This record gives sequence, C-alpha cells and structure tokens, in this order.
Amino acid sequence: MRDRKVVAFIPGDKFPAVTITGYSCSLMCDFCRGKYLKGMTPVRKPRELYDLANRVWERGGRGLLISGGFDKYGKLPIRPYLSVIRDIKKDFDLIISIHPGFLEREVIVKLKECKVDIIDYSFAFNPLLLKYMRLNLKPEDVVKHFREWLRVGFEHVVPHILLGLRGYISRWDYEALRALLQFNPHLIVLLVFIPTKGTPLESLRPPLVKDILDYVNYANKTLQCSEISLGCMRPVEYKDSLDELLISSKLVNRVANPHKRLIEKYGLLKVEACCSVPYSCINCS
Amino acid sequence: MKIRASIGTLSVLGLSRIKMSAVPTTAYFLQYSEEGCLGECTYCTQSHINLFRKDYLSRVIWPECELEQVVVALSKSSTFKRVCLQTVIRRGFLSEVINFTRVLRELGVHLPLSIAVTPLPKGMLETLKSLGVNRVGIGLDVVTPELFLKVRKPYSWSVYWSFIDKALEVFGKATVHLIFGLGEKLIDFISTMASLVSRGADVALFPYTPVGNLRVSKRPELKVYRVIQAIRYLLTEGYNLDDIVKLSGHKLLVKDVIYDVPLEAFLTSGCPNCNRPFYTESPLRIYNYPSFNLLIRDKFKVYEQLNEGVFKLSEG
Repeated sequence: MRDRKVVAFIPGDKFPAVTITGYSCSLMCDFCRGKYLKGMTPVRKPRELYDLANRVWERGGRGLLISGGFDKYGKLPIRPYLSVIRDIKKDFDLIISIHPGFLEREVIVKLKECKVDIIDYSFAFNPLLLKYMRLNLKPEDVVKHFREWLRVGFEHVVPHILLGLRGYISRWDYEALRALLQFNPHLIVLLVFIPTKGTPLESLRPPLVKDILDYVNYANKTLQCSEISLGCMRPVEYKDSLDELLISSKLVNRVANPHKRLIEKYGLLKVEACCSVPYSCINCS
Repeated sequence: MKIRASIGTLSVLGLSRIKMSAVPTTAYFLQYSEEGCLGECTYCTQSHINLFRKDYLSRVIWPECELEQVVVALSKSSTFKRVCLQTVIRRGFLSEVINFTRVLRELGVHLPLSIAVTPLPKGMLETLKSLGVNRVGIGLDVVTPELFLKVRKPYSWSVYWSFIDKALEVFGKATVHLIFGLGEKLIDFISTMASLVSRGADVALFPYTPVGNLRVSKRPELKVYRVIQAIRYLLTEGYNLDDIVKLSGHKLLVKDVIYDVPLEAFLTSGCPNCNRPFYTESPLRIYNYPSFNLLIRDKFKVYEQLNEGVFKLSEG
C-alpha cells in the first residue's frame, strides 16, 4: 500500500502528443502497425512544431510529447527538429518530452543541449517484443541504451514497460523490473498489451487483470522507491476493471486518462500532463 | 477590434449609464472571447468550463464594444489615471494584446498602462515594454502549489513564479493578484505575500467573491480580511513577517504593530490608481475601499473589524 494519493494524469490538449513523421512509420511493429500515430497531432516540418508550441501556450498548455514513427533501426528521426526544439525551450516555458527510440549517443547529447526535459524510454526488455519490433537488439542492449541517456545527464528518463505481449505476463516482464533495480528510477510507466485491430496480433487477448495485479504488487516490492504509473496504452475495457482495482488499492501512484467516474469516486487530483512528467516539473508533491 | 470594458468605465466615458457611489480611476478593459477563456480556473466567470455569461468578470458586467470607439472617448476624458487590460487565454490573444497597446497609443492615449496577464512566452515582456506598457499584473491568485492544481490554474506554479521574476526584471515592478478565501491556510497566504513583497512585487488583494451559482468557496470573513489588508500594508512598509505575526501552535498571534496601520491600508491595493469600485463586493459591505471618502465615512467600523479579526485569530 503506497501512502501517496493516486493522481490522474490527463494530457488532453494541454500536453498534446505530436508525430513528426505524420502517419508513417518504417518500423511497423506487429503490435502497432502505425495505428497509434493516428491519435497524435501531425507536424510536417520544424516550423509547424514551433507554431504548435505557440498554440499550446495560447491555450494555457503545459508541454508537448514529441513522438512519431521510427526508422527501421528503431530511432525517431529527430535531427531536423533539434534546432526548433531549442527555440521552443528558449521562447516558452513548456515541458518537452520525447519518445525517442534507440538513438545514437551524438543525438542524445544534442537533445540534452536543447534542454529536453523528459525521455519516455521504451524499456523493451522482452526478446519477443524486440522481435516484433524487428530490431536486432538484445535485452542487454536495451539496458545499455537506457544507461546512455543517464550518462549524458538526463535526470528524467522514464522506462516504459509493455506488459503481457500476446496475452500473458512473461518472465521477461519480471526480468525488466530486476534489470531496472540498478538504476533506481524515480518513476516507471506500465503499459498493457492491446490486441489492436488491423495488426497481426488482433485476435489475441490482453493479459489477465489478475496477472497484472500480481505484477504490480511485485513491482511495488522490487522498486520500492519508484513511483508507478499506469500509462495510457492499455485496453479501454480495463479502465473499468484494472484501473479501479489499482486505484482503490493504491498500487499505483499515477493513472493516465482514467474514467471520470473513478476520478469522482476516489476524488483524484487531476494533472493535465503526460503521466511521465515528474512532480518537480509540475510543482506538487 | 472587439473588446469588453467595465460598465463603470463606460459610464465615466458617457457610453453607458449606471449609478456609482465611487468612480473608477483606472479604465478597465477585458479581452473579448465569445466562448470565454481557455483557462480552467474553477472560480472564474470567464473560464470556458462554466456556463456563466461571458460578459461577467467577478460581479461586474463588461459589455462588448469596439476598441477604437472607446479609446477615442478615453482620449478626451481626464478622469482616468491608468488603463488596464485583462487578457484571457485563447487563440491569438498574444498578438491582440500588442494590437491593443498600439491602438491606444496611436489614438493619443498616453496614460500609464497595465496588462493583467497569464504568463507570457519569454521575450514578450520586452515587446510590451517597448510598446509603452508600464507594468504587468499577474493573477497568481492562490498561494500554494497544491491549491494551484486544485483550482486548475493554467501552466504551472513554477512558470508563474519565474514569470513574476521576469516581469520584475523587465519592468522593475509587478503587481501580483492574490485571492483570499479560496481555501488556503492563513499562514500560507501571509507567507506568500511576504515572499512577493520581498522580491519587489506589489500585492493586489481580492476577497473571493462567489458570483451567481459559481461558488467554489465561501466569501471570506470581513474581519479576517481586514487583518490581511493590514499585514499587506505593513509588509510593503518594510516590516518583516516576524515583526508582524507569531505562530503559536495552530494559532496566529498578531503583534500590536497591527494597530498602527493608517486608514489607507484598507484602500484597494494593486497598481497605482487602481481602485476597482465594487468589483468584489457590494457597496453595502465593502472589502476593498475604492475611495478615501467612503473609508473616512466607515473609519470606526473598519478599525473595529480589524480588532475583531485579530481577536478571532488569537482564539484559533
């Protein structure tokens, strides 16, 4: 049982997710096939990202999540946007999160120079997941990449663990937690596999709620100093079952986009930002 | 360009007629937005999240008008000592603020100009200064980061504070608006006032005002508000917080220096010459006095309220 109150993170239009590759992706992972890009705001060139930042400011927004499709090496093609990100950080007090994939050190250093605040890191530790991503990476490479971000000096590198690929929680999901132990992350985000229509995995089912609860219990015991967030990628039907169980038992600290019903029932504080944003950026404790 | 002006301002300019027991000494404008402000402050009539009429801000009505028409009338009037524009958050509001200041100056209004704004992008303050804006008013409104989230202020607590510092750097002064009665602890309110004053900011005090069915809290007790007004006055006179109050358990003990405050402590606080007549209260029960005449009329009552307030706090 965690003593902190559970907080609802609702990015909405105050913290929009942006795709810098439009709706296209070269990686085309088997569990996504670029479907989730369609829920993001597309920008076609750096100037459009700047204008979007201005619009976000003009609606009292908090920040931007810069994401998009990856190239075939699992990297977000961020280079053309580096200078405009620097300008945005210079001109606006917006929080910038990036979902970068597995970038090379040189670009990581540049992102640090641009004063990017948060890295949403896909902690794809499960070899099956890496296979579905068509990446020639091993679990230890994922850890190595994670360490790279920290070495460059990023304070807020938030590992995202996708649970229950193919419908069951595997030992790799548990291994991912143990691999993170050495880093003592301040926050981890848990995502739940969604069998998405139009992908090769559409006919599968999501992992069982009971198994997820066991996992989250274990995560609490393993990473005692880390906050745990239930991220926005989870089956919509779980918002009634899993969400309520996690909120009422206080097994997580944060939930992204919970039902309004649960917000009211449990009197959750609402924060209009991505669930990986640290409290130091949004000023509450 | 469409704009809203307070009914009192329009009345002074002969563009409307209402009975007034005190005349505004600042001409008040409010940026026009049909849908309201994209900010979601729970207590504000302008926020788009409530169904309140958008020609209201606090308890005052702000009819929509053509900026040029009002400014022409304003250029001929000698009543006002300052102009104030309250912005709202909406698409294009930044460029409209710039346009407002241009129109004012081009039509020959050279009065001191305040812009009451939410935090602006960095650099925008210099632009406003170059256009003749003298100071900005910043509606921090609440006094703790927790309340800031609770009442759903836009941006973030730290963005507001860094904006306050930036405004002080650019203009050498800034007016920070605080609303008393939104559920804060008294000590938090007083400490925030002290922290603002020590940075060089002026504090504009507002009692929380429920309007119509928009009631997120109760109207604060007038006697406690008097203490807050007196403490604000002493802080601006250079007293330290420790010279004024002492915390004893949960009780806030006010020291005797509070009885030395002059009457003017109870005048409306804010930018110079801002008196906001009856913006937050009815003329029958005045929190912020808009004129010395009214204050002199009520002077015994006001000190009595202060005494009662001090007594109430000592009781805990």
